[in-house]
Amino acid sequence: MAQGSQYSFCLLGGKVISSSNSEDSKLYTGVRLALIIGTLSSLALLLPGLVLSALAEVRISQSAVPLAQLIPQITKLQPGAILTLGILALLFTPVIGVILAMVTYLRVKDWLYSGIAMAVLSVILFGLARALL
Amino acid sequence: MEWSSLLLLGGIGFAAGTLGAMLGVGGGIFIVPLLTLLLQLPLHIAIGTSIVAIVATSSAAASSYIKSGMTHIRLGMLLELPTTIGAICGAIVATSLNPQPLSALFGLLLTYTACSMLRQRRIGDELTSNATLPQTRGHYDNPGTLSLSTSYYDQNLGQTIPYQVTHIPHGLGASFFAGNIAGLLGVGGGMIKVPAMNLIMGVPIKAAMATSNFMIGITAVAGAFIYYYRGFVYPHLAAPIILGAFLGAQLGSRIAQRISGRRLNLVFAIALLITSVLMWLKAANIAFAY
Repeated sequence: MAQGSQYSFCLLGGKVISSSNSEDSKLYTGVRLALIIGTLSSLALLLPGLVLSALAEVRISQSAVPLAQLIPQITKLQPGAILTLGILALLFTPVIGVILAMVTYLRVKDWLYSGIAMAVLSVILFGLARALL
Repeated sequence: MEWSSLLLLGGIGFAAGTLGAMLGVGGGIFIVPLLTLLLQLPLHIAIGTSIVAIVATSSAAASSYIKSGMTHIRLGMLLELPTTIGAICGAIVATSLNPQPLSALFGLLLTYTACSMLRQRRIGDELTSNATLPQTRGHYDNPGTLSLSTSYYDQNLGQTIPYQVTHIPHGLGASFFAGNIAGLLGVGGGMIKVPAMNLIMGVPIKAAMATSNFMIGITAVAGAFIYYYRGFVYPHLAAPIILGAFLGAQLGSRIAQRISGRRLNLVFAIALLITSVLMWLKAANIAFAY
Protein backbone atom coordinates (compact mmCIF):
# COMPACT_ATOMS: atom_id res chain seq x y z
CA MET A 1 0.00 0.00 0.00
CA ALA A 2 1.49 3.34 -1.06
CA GLN A 3 0.78 5.10 2.20
CA GLY A 4 2.66 2.35 4.05
CA SER A 5 5.59 2.54 1.66
CA GLN A 6 5.84 6.27 2.29
CA TYR A 7 6.24 5.70 6.01
CA SER A 8 8.65 2.79 5.48
CA PHE A 9 10.71 5.14 3.34
CA CYS A 10 10.83 7.52 6.28
CA LEU A 11 11.94 4.75 8.60
CA LEU A 12 14.74 3.74 6.26
CA GLY A 13 15.91 7.34 6.31
CA GLY A 14 16.45 7.00 10.03
CA LYS A 15 13.80 9.44 11.15
CA VAL A 16 11.40 8.29 13.81
CA ILE A 17 7.81 8.55 12.74
CA SER A 18 5.74 10.51 15.18
CA SER A 19 2.46 9.20 16.47
CA SER A 20 0.80 11.93 14.39
CA ASN A 21 1.77 10.17 11.16
CA SER A 22 0.04 7.02 12.34
CA GLU A 23 -3.06 9.16 12.96
CA ASP A 24 -2.78 10.46 9.41
CA SER A 25 -2.62 6.89 8.19
CA LYS A 26 -5.70 6.05 10.26
CA LEU A 27 -7.48 9.02 8.69
CA TYR A 28 -6.81 7.70 5.18
CA THR A 29 -8.03 4.26 6.19
CA GLY A 30 -11.09 5.70 7.94
CA VAL A 31 -12.08 7.95 5.05
CA ARG A 32 -11.66 5.10 2.59
CA LEU A 33 -13.82 2.80 4.73
CA ALA A 34 -16.46 5.52 5.09
CA LEU A 35 -16.57 5.96 1.31
CA ILE A 36 -16.85 2.21 0.74
CA ILE A 37 -19.53 1.69 3.38
CA GLY A 38 -21.48 4.72 2.14
CA THR A 39 -21.43 3.63 -1.48
CA LEU A 40 -22.30 0.02 -0.63
CA SER A 41 -25.19 1.20 1.56
CA SER A 42 -26.44 3.32 -1.29
CA LEU A 43 -26.13 0.42 -3.75
CA ALA A 44 -27.98 -1.88 -1.35
CA LEU A 45 -30.97 0.46 -1.57
CA LEU A 46 -30.74 1.52 -5.21
CA LEU A 47 -30.61 -1.98 -6.69
CA PRO A 48 -33.81 -3.34 -5.11
CA GLY A 49 -35.44 0.05 -5.65
CA LEU A 50 -34.70 -0.15 -9.37
CA VAL A 51 -36.01 -3.71 -9.60
CA LEU A 52 -39.24 -2.68 -7.88
CA SER A 53 -39.50 0.37 -10.18
CA ALA A 54 -39.13 -1.77 -13.28
CA LEU A 55 -41.70 -4.29 -12.04
CA ALA A 56 -44.15 -1.56 -11.01
CA GLU A 57 -43.70 0.30 -14.33
CA VAL A 58 -43.06 3.56 -12.56
CA ARG A 59 -42.61 6.73 -14.60
CA ILE A 60 -39.14 8.22 -14.70
CA SER A 61 -40.44 11.74 -14.15
CA GLN A 62 -41.18 11.50 -10.45
CA SER A 63 -39.42 13.78 -8.01
CA ALA A 64 -37.57 12.46 -5.01
CA VAL A 65 -39.75 11.84 -1.95
CA PRO A 66 -39.61 14.67 0.61
CA LEU A 67 -38.09 13.78 3.98
CA ALA A 68 -41.38 14.02 5.85
CA GLN A 69 -42.96 11.35 3.64
CA LEU A 70 -39.91 9.13 3.34
CA ILE A 71 -40.39 6.71 6.22
CA PRO A 72 -44.13 6.13 5.67
CA GLN A 73 -43.52 5.37 1.97
CA ILE A 74 -40.57 3.11 2.69
CA THR A 75 -42.74 1.01 5.02
CA LYS A 76 -45.08 0.57 2.06
CA LEU A 77 -42.10 -0.45 -0.13
CA GLN A 78 -42.67 2.41 -2.54
CA PRO A 79 -39.82 2.23 -5.10
CA GLY A 80 -39.40 6.01 -5.20
CA ALA A 81 -38.90 6.18 -1.45
CA ILE A 82 -36.34 3.37 -1.43
CA LEU A 83 -34.44 5.04 -4.25
CA THR A 84 -34.59 8.41 -2.47
CA LEU A 85 -33.14 6.87 0.68
CA GLY A 86 -30.36 5.32 -1.39
CA ILE A 87 -29.56 8.71 -2.92
CA LEU A 88 -29.54 10.39 0.50
CA ALA A 89 -27.16 7.70 1.80
CA LEU A 90 -24.90 8.53 -1.11
CA LEU A 91 -25.05 12.27 -0.45
CA PHE A 92 -24.07 11.86 3.19
CA THR A 93 -21.04 9.71 2.34
CA PRO A 94 -18.60 12.58 1.61
CA VAL A 95 -19.96 14.44 4.65
CA ILE A 96 -18.91 11.56 6.88
CA GLY A 97 -15.44 11.74 5.34
CA VAL A 98 -15.19 15.41 6.31
CA ILE A 99 -16.38 14.63 9.85
CA LEU A 100 -13.74 11.90 10.16
CA ALA A 101 -11.06 14.32 9.02
CA MET A 102 -12.19 16.90 11.57
CA VAL A 103 -12.19 14.37 14.42
CA THR A 104 -8.76 13.02 13.47
CA TYR A 105 -7.17 16.44 13.33
CA LEU A 106 -8.76 17.34 16.68
CA ARG A 107 -7.34 14.18 18.25
CA VAL A 108 -3.80 15.12 17.25
CA LYS A 109 -4.45 18.75 18.21
CA ASP A 110 -3.82 20.01 14.70
CA TRP A 111 -6.00 23.06 15.23
CA LEU A 112 -5.37 24.50 11.78
CA TYR A 113 -6.69 21.53 9.82
CA SER A 114 -9.41 20.70 12.31
CA GLY A 115 -10.59 24.27 11.89
CA ILE A 116 -10.48 23.94 8.11
CA ALA A 117 -12.46 20.69 8.21
CA MET A 118 -14.95 22.26 10.61
CA ALA A 119 -15.36 25.24 8.29
CA VAL A 120 -16.00 22.95 5.29
CA LEU A 121 -18.60 21.05 7.30
CA SER A 122 -20.23 24.33 8.32
CA VAL A 123 -20.53 25.45 4.71
CA ILE A 124 -22.15 22.14 3.75
CA LEU A 125 -24.58 22.41 6.66
CA PHE A 126 -25.36 25.98 5.62
CA GLY A 127 -26.29 24.67 2.18
CA LEU A 128 -28.45 22.00 3.79
CA ALA A 129 -30.14 24.52 6.07
CA ARG A 130 -30.82 26.82 3.15
CA ALA A 131 -32.40 23.93 1.27
CA LEU A 132 -34.65 23.17 4.22
CA LEU A 133 -35.80 26.76 4.74
CA MET B 1 -39.87 1.97 -16.54
CA GLU B 2 -38.45 -0.01 -19.44
CA TRP B 3 -35.27 -2.03 -19.22
CA SER B 4 -33.98 -0.31 -22.36
CA SER B 5 -34.21 3.02 -20.56
CA LEU B 6 -32.38 1.58 -17.58
CA LEU B 7 -29.59 0.31 -19.81
CA LEU B 8 -29.28 3.62 -21.64
CA LEU B 9 -29.10 5.58 -18.41
CA GLY B 10 -26.68 3.08 -16.92
CA GLY B 11 -24.51 3.38 -20.01
CA ILE B 12 -24.44 7.15 -19.68
CA GLY B 13 -23.42 6.81 -16.05
CA PHE B 14 -20.75 4.22 -16.87
CA ALA B 15 -19.15 6.38 -19.55
CA ALA B 16 -19.24 9.49 -17.39
CA GLY B 17 -17.93 7.61 -14.36
CA THR B 18 -15.03 6.07 -16.29
CA LEU B 19 -13.91 9.35 -17.83
CA GLY B 20 -14.63 11.30 -14.68
CA ALA B 21 -12.57 9.02 -12.45
CA MET B 22 -9.70 8.96 -14.95
CA LEU B 23 -9.55 12.71 -15.27
CA GLY B 24 -10.42 13.83 -11.75
CA VAL B 25 -13.75 15.35 -12.75
CA GLY B 26 -17.20 14.30 -11.67
CA GLY B 27 -18.56 13.47 -15.09
CA GLY B 28 -21.28 16.09 -14.90
CA ILE B 29 -19.74 17.88 -17.83
CA PHE B 30 -20.65 14.82 -19.91
CA ILE B 31 -23.90 13.80 -18.20
CA VAL B 32 -25.79 17.09 -18.51
CA PRO B 33 -25.38 17.41 -22.29
CA LEU B 34 -26.28 13.75 -22.81
CA LEU B 35 -29.45 14.02 -20.72
CA THR B 36 -30.62 17.23 -22.37
CA LEU B 37 -29.73 16.05 -25.88
CA LEU B 38 -30.74 12.38 -25.81
CA LEU B 39 -33.63 12.49 -23.37
CA GLN B 40 -34.72 16.10 -23.87
CA LEU B 41 -34.77 16.62 -20.13
CA PRO B 42 -35.21 20.10 -18.65
CA LEU B 43 -31.91 21.64 -17.67
CA HIS B 44 -32.53 21.76 -13.90
CA ILE B 45 -33.46 18.09 -13.83
CA ALA B 46 -30.35 17.20 -15.80
CA ILE B 47 -28.20 19.23 -13.42
CA GLY B 48 -29.84 17.72 -10.34
CA THR B 49 -29.22 14.24 -11.72
CA SER B 50 -25.68 15.14 -12.68
CA ILE B 51 -24.82 16.42 -9.21
CA VAL B 52 -25.89 13.16 -7.60
CA ALA B 53 -23.92 11.15 -10.16
CA ILE B 54 -20.86 13.28 -9.40
CA VAL B 55 -21.03 12.22 -5.75
CA ALA B 56 -21.20 8.60 -6.90
CA THR B 57 -18.18 8.95 -9.20
CA SER B 58 -16.23 10.80 -6.53
CA SER B 59 -16.96 8.32 -3.76
CA ALA B 60 -16.18 5.27 -5.88
CA ALA B 61 -13.00 6.68 -7.41
CA ALA B 62 -11.71 8.33 -4.26
CA SER B 63 -11.77 5.09 -2.29
CA SER B 64 -9.54 3.52 -4.94
CA TYR B 65 -7.14 6.46 -5.12
CA ILE B 66 -6.89 6.75 -1.32
CA LYS B 67 -5.90 3.08 -1.18
CA SER B 68 -3.13 3.75 -3.71
CA GLY B 69 -1.91 6.73 -1.70
CA MET B 70 -2.34 9.23 -4.52
CA THR B 71 -4.90 11.41 -2.76
CA HIS B 72 -3.65 14.39 -0.75
CA ILE B 73 -6.44 14.71 1.80
CA ARG B 74 -4.92 17.72 3.57
CA LEU B 75 -4.58 19.65 0.32
CA GLY B 76 -8.07 18.58 -0.68
CA MET B 77 -9.53 19.79 2.60
CA LEU B 78 -7.67 23.09 2.34
CA LEU B 79 -8.84 23.80 -1.20
CA GLU B 80 -12.33 22.52 -0.47
CA LEU B 81 -13.07 25.42 1.87
CA PRO B 82 -13.08 28.13 -0.82
CA THR B 83 -14.62 25.65 -3.25
CA THR B 84 -17.69 24.95 -1.14
CA ILE B 85 -18.12 28.64 -0.39
CA GLY B 86 -17.95 29.30 -4.12
CA ALA B 87 -20.42 26.50 -4.82
CA ILE B 88 -22.97 27.97 -2.43
CA CYS B 89 -22.50 31.42 -3.99
CA GLY B 90 -22.84 29.95 -7.46
CA ALA B 91 -25.98 28.04 -6.61
CA ILE B 92 -27.55 31.12 -5.03
CA VAL B 93 -26.96 33.37 -8.02
CA ALA B 94 -27.61 30.66 -10.62
CA THR B 95 -31.20 31.63 -11.25
CA SER B 96 -30.50 35.35 -11.72
CA LEU B 97 -27.37 35.16 -13.86
CA ASN B 98 -27.45 35.10 -17.65
CA PRO B 99 -25.58 31.91 -18.47
CA GLN B 100 -24.37 32.96 -21.89
CA PRO B 101 -21.57 35.40 -20.95
CA LEU B 102 -20.51 32.99 -18.23
CA SER B 103 -20.38 30.15 -20.70
CA ALA B 104 -18.20 32.24 -22.99
CA LEU B 105 -15.83 33.03 -20.13
CA PHE B 106 -15.73 29.40 -19.09
CA GLY B 107 -15.08 28.33 -22.67
CA LEU B 108 -12.21 30.80 -22.95
CA LEU B 109 -10.70 29.58 -19.72
CA LEU B 110 -10.97 25.94 -20.73
CA THR B 111 -9.40 26.63 -24.12
CA TYR B 112 -6.48 28.46 -22.52
CA THR B 113 -6.03 25.72 -19.92
CA ALA B 114 -6.10 22.98 -22.54
CA CYS B 115 -3.42 24.75 -24.58
CA SER B 116 -1.29 25.23 -21.47
CA MET B 117 -1.49 21.56 -20.61
CA LEU B 118 -0.57 20.55 -24.13
CA ARG B 119 2.39 22.92 -24.13
CA GLN B 120 3.63 21.79 -20.73
CA ARG B 121 7.18 20.57 -21.34
CA ARG B 122 7.53 18.33 -18.34
CA ILE B 123 4.41 16.31 -19.00
CA GLY B 124 4.75 12.96 -17.29
CA ASP B 125 8.22 13.78 -16.01
CA GLU B 126 7.35 13.42 -12.37
CA LEU B 127 10.95 13.34 -11.10
CA THR B 128 11.77 16.99 -11.61
CA SER B 129 12.49 19.84 -9.22
CA ASN B 130 10.78 18.09 -6.34
CA ALA B 131 13.54 15.47 -6.33
CA THR B 132 15.59 17.76 -4.10
CA LEU B 133 13.07 17.52 -1.29
CA PRO B 134 14.27 16.03 2.01
CA GLN B 135 14.25 12.27 2.09
CA THR B 136 11.94 12.12 5.03
CA ARG B 137 8.66 13.89 5.01
CA GLY B 138 5.20 13.61 6.28
CA HIS B 139 2.16 15.65 6.81
CA TYR B 140 3.25 16.37 10.37
CA ASP B 141 6.78 17.59 9.77
CA ASN B 142 5.77 21.02 10.99
CA PRO B 143 2.66 20.83 13.15
CA GLY B 144 0.61 23.97 13.04
CA THR B 145 1.72 24.84 9.53
CA LEU B 146 0.14 23.84 6.26
CA SER B 147 2.51 20.84 5.96
CA LEU B 148 1.70 20.00 2.36
CA SER B 149 4.86 18.26 1.11
CA THR B 150 4.24 14.60 0.47
CA SER B 151 4.73 11.78 -1.99
CA TYR B 152 2.87 8.97 -3.72
CA TYR B 153 3.78 5.72 -5.43
CA ASP B 154 3.35 5.78 -9.23
CA GLN B 155 2.48 2.29 -10.48
CA ASN B 156 3.36 3.18 -14.06
CA LEU B 157 6.84 4.45 -13.20
CA GLY B 158 7.38 2.00 -10.37
CA GLN B 159 8.74 4.68 -8.05
CA THR B 160 7.75 7.01 -5.26
CA ILE B 161 7.18 10.55 -6.47
CA PRO B 162 7.85 13.32 -3.94
CA TYR B 163 6.38 16.75 -4.47
CA GLN B 164 5.87 20.03 -2.71
CA VAL B 165 2.74 22.13 -3.03
CA THR B 166 3.41 25.78 -3.91
CA HIS B 167 1.45 28.95 -4.76
CA ILE B 168 -1.25 28.13 -2.24
CA PRO B 169 -3.03 31.54 -2.41
CA HIS B 170 -3.38 31.14 -6.18
CA GLY B 171 -4.77 27.66 -5.65
CA LEU B 172 -7.29 28.95 -3.14
CA GLY B 173 -8.46 31.59 -5.61
CA ALA B 174 -8.78 29.05 -8.40
CA SER B 175 -10.75 26.78 -6.07
CA PHE B 176 -13.20 29.54 -5.23
CA PHE B 177 -13.73 30.13 -8.95
CA ALA B 178 -14.14 26.38 -9.50
CA GLY B 179 -16.75 26.29 -6.78
CA ASN B 180 -18.71 29.10 -8.40
CA ILE B 181 -18.66 27.26 -11.72
CA ALA B 182 -19.76 24.10 -9.94
CA GLY B 183 -22.69 25.84 -8.32
CA LEU B 184 -23.73 27.60 -11.50
CA LEU B 185 -23.44 24.75 -13.96
CA GLY B 186 -24.00 21.68 -11.78
CA VAL B 187 -20.54 20.23 -12.31
CA GLY B 188 -17.88 19.22 -9.83
CA GLY B 189 -15.32 21.84 -10.80
CA GLY B 190 -12.59 19.32 -11.52
CA MET B 191 -11.96 20.85 -14.94
CA ILE B 192 -10.54 23.86 -13.12
CA LYS B 193 -9.18 22.23 -9.98
CA VAL B 194 -6.97 19.66 -11.74
CA PRO B 195 -5.16 22.18 -13.97
CA ALA B 196 -4.90 24.59 -11.04
CA MET B 197 -3.22 21.99 -8.85
CA ASN B 198 -1.01 20.71 -11.66
CA LEU B 199 -0.01 23.88 -13.48
CA ILE B 200 -0.04 26.40 -10.61
CA MET B 201 0.57 24.47 -7.41
CA GLY B 202 3.12 21.94 -8.66
CA VAL B 203 1.09 18.82 -7.92
CA PRO B 204 1.84 15.91 -10.31
CA ILE B 205 -1.05 15.25 -12.66
CA LYS B 206 -2.00 11.89 -11.14
CA ALA B 207 -2.02 13.24 -7.58
CA ALA B 208 -4.00 16.26 -8.80
CA MET B 209 -6.64 14.05 -10.40
CA ALA B 210 -6.84 11.78 -7.37
CA THR B 211 -7.17 14.73 -4.98
CA SER B 212 -9.76 16.34 -7.23
CA ASN B 213 -11.80 13.13 -7.17
CA PHE B 214 -11.84 13.33 -3.39
CA MET B 215 -12.87 16.99 -3.43
CA ILE B 216 -15.60 17.04 -6.05
CA GLY B 217 -17.91 14.78 -4.05
CA ILE B 218 -17.83 17.25 -1.18
CA THR B 219 -18.38 20.15 -3.59
CA ALA B 220 -21.33 18.44 -5.22
CA VAL B 221 -22.99 17.67 -1.89
CA ALA B 222 -23.04 21.39 -1.08
CA GLY B 223 -25.44 21.97 -3.97
CA ALA B 224 -27.09 18.55 -4.14
CA PHE B 225 -29.30 19.06 -1.10
CA ILE B 226 -30.64 22.26 -2.64
CA TYR B 227 -31.59 20.46 -5.84
CA TYR B 228 -33.13 17.58 -3.87
CA TYR B 229 -35.38 19.82 -1.81
CA ARG B 230 -36.43 21.82 -4.84
CA GLY B 231 -37.61 18.60 -6.48
CA PHE B 232 -35.02 18.55 -9.27
CA VAL B 233 -33.72 15.08 -8.47
CA TYR B 234 -35.67 12.26 -10.10
CA PRO B 235 -34.63 9.06 -8.31
CA HIS B 236 -35.78 6.71 -11.08
CA LEU B 237 -33.62 8.68 -13.48
CA ALA B 238 -30.66 9.14 -11.17
CA ALA B 239 -30.42 5.60 -9.81
CA PRO B 240 -29.33 3.78 -13.00
CA ILE B 241 -26.90 6.59 -13.78
CA ILE B 242 -25.46 6.31 -10.28
CA LEU B 243 -25.03 2.54 -10.65
CA GLY B 244 -23.31 3.00 -14.00
CA ALA B 245 -21.10 5.72 -12.54
CA PHE B 246 -20.05 3.45 -9.66
CA LEU B 247 -18.86 0.77 -12.06
CA GLY B 248 -17.26 3.24 -14.45
CA ALA B 249 -15.41 5.02 -11.67
CA GLN B 250 -13.91 1.76 -10.45
CA LEU B 251 -12.63 1.06 -13.97
CA GLY B 252 -11.48 4.63 -14.61
CA SER B 253 -9.48 4.90 -11.39
CA ARG B 254 -7.66 1.66 -12.14
CA ILE B 255 -6.84 2.76 -15.68
CA ALA B 256 -5.53 6.12 -14.46
CA GLN B 257 -3.14 4.47 -12.02
CA ARG B 258 -1.60 2.34 -14.73
CA ILE B 259 -1.09 4.75 -17.61
CA SER B 260 1.58 7.42 -17.83
CA GLY B 261 1.10 10.96 -16.59
CA ARG B 262 1.90 12.22 -20.08
CA ARG B 263 -0.97 10.24 -21.60
CA LEU B 264 -3.36 11.32 -18.85
CA ASN B 265 -2.38 14.92 -19.44
CA LEU B 266 -3.13 14.56 -23.16
CA VAL B 267 -6.51 12.92 -22.54
CA PHE B 268 -7.41 15.66 -20.08
CA ALA B 269 -6.41 18.41 -22.48
CA ILE B 270 -8.58 16.86 -25.22
CA ALA B 271 -11.51 16.62 -22.80
CA LEU B 272 -11.01 20.30 -21.94
CA LEU B 273 -11.05 21.28 -25.59
CA ILE B 274 -14.26 19.34 -26.23
CA THR B 275 -15.86 20.94 -23.19
CA SER B 276 -14.74 24.39 -24.26
CA VAL B 277 -16.46 23.84 -27.63
CA LEU B 278 -19.67 22.94 -25.79
CA MET B 279 -19.34 26.11 -23.74
CA TRP B 280 -18.81 28.25 -26.84
CA LEU B 281 -21.89 26.67 -28.44
CA LYS B 282 -23.90 27.47 -25.34
CA ALA B 283 -22.62 31.03 -25.32
CA ALA B 284 -23.70 31.38 -28.94
CA ASN B 285 -27.10 29.99 -27.92
CA ILE B 286 -26.67 27.01 -30.21
CA ALA B 287 -26.70 24.94 -27.07
CA PHE B 288 -27.97 21.53 -26.52
CA ALA B 289 -25.49 21.31 -23.69
CA TYR B 290 -26.62 23.58 -20.91
